[in-house]
Amino acid sequence: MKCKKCDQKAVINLQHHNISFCKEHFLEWMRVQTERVIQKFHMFTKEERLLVAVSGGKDSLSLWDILWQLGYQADGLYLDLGINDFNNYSSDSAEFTRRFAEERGLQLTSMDIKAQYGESIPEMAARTKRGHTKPCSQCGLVKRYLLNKLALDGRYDAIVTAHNLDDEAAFLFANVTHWSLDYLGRQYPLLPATTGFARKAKPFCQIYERESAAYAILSGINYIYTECPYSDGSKQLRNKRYLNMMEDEQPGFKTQFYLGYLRALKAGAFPQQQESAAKLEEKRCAKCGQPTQSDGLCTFCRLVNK
Amino acid sequence: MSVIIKTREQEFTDRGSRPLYRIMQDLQLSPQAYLAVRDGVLLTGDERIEDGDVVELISVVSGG
Repeated sequence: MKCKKCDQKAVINLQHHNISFCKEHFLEWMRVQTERVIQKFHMFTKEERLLVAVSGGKDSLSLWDILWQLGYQADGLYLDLGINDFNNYSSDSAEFTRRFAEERGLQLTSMDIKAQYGESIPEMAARTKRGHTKPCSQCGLVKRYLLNKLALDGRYDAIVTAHNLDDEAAFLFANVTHWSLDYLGRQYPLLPATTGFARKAKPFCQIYERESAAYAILSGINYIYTECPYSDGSKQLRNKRYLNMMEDEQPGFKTQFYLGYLRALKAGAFPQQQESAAKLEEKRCAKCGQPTQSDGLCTFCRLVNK
Repeated sequence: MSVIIKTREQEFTDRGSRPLYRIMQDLQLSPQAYLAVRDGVLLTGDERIEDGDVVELISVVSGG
């Protein structure tokens, strides 16, 4: 198999695009695709300050590398979740992230959640009814809250996350199977800033997970290959498996599924994010001042206050 | 002679001398879920795997 651009031996074949690339042209293609998505959704400009959520995994480090190579002002934020019970997941991912930033001279802010709030994510979750066996929903809540807070405190123009097409298609699949209209109205690749919430952008939303991993490997990015021990048996991984079976049968299926949803969203098929945000603006957390749907404390402050 | 196919969780032995995609089909491994590396080089599915080769299949699926 030959590279579509230079006739050299290909190292990757992208069946859904019906193209193959050598290393050099694949890396270039990834940068072009990412820039195209940034422009298509008017995500941010090179004059704006971005905060990239980095986990030490293939997606976030590949995205941060591409944004840096494209000339964006992208700083990183790493949240140390304190997940070290079964393996050294958090300690190792912190080290991969630190080294990546250091090698490129990039600005990285790290927050150790246990040092800041007295408990790791599994410890916090263990006190709750739903989280005592699996801390995933509490973990998501803490990450979303702190990412937003630190972006606002640092006066960043946008939060950037490395959700890829497989992530988006798997969320969409879960939301469609449950007909979660509220979530279906919020899965746009760009969520504009609203009172108390920073702008959020997903420049990898049309990049397959396989492409993001290939970018990391071919660029020589060292990332954490070990998975979070709590992800074992998760619904998201199961949904990704189903979608990959469809993709194997019909190359391009995941792209069609996701882009079809975006067209439906644009056509007004689901309630829009602005309507949900308007509801939130009515109440504020008594402790942190963040918009909340609850009376008194917001969900984050209730979790860390227990 | 045979080839060794390694994933994060398992190691398989195959007779080799055939394209990678055939081996993955027989092992029921989705090409969407893995990248194949031999001697530090990424492989496309049509690449022939020969006797004595060791191919590492890197899982690309993450999340939870």
